[in-house]
Amino acid sequence: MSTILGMLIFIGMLFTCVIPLFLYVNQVNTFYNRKVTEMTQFDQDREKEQIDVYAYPLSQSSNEVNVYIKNRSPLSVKIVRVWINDDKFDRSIEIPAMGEGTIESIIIQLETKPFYIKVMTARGNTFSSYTNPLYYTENGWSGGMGFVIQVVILANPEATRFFKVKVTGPSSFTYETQVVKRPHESSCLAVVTVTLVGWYYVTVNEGLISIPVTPESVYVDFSEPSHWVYANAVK
Amino acid sequence: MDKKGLSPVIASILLCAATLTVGIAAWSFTFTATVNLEKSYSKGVREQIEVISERFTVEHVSYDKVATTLHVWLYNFGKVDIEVDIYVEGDAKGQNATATPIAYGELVRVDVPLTAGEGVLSIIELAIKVMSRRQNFVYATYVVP
Repeated sequence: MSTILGMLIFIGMLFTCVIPLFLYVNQVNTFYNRKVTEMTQFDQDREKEQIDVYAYPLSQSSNEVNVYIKNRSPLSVKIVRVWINDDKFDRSIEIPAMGEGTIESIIIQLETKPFYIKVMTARGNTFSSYTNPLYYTENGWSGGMGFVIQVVILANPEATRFFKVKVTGPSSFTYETQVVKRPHESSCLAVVTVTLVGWYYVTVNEGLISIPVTPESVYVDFSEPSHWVYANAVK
Repeated sequence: MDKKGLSPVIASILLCAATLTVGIAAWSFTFTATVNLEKSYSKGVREQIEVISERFTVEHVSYDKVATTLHVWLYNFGKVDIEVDIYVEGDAKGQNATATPIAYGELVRVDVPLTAGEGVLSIIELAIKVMSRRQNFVYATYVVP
């Protein structure tokens, strides 16, 4: 009799404790896996976001800036904010897949300085305007995609090296960027967009060591809007 | 023959009583243990889900030269609310480890007072490390214009 009772109690424990625990753990694991899949999909969607941003002033002396956005990804992209220098403008615009849209009439405080424009998407991506930086001077707006100085740094394929490229030019224009040459690469490139016609001076440094640059200065104007500058860092 | 002892009936009753007592105690213990196990397991998984659901980024950085303070805008685009600490290194050092809360979908500005490093004349390059209280990290660099 007691054996039967013991067996019944054991079976009762199995059905009321062990099997429910097993089922519960399975359910929780399924929920976790679903969340992992959801977040992986979210990250993949985020990676796929690709938009082209072009910011432009409405007229030569306008304090209104429009931002044209071309969505080049297979997903719709929601723009949540526009940054112009350190000022943010909350906007909510959904650009359909492969579609386009314009964020209009962003009023800015006109000052004689460069304006850097970027947009933020709801998926957490930041895209800078191709027309950065826009300049406002006494003569009105200038800048855009016209003038470019491309700095090619030649180096040995070995090792990772860090170079600092500095370009100075008219109206106290200064641009500094760090370029990384990775192992197995024998050169690296810095593309510097400049805005005004005039002489620009290029320096390249590796730490405190100055790298010889040819030519050291270039004259940018409408007849020659793009220049190539070479720095020889081969040891 | 005069035999003394328990009759088989009483022995059976006593054995059954003992089995029932021990069995119910074991059942009760197992039930409590499995319920606690379920609770702690689901709590652990829920915490783990919150860890993998965190997504945030350094959206914008600006530097106030007068107040020597770095303004860091953080955007929480994940699925859960977060709390973050910010550490700055490079030409200057600073931190804001006050567990700034950021609700999901929100943009929050966090100010980090900076102290220039020894021998540094002007603050130019900074490395920003944002750490959530769930131990997720986001890094950014900033070149002072």
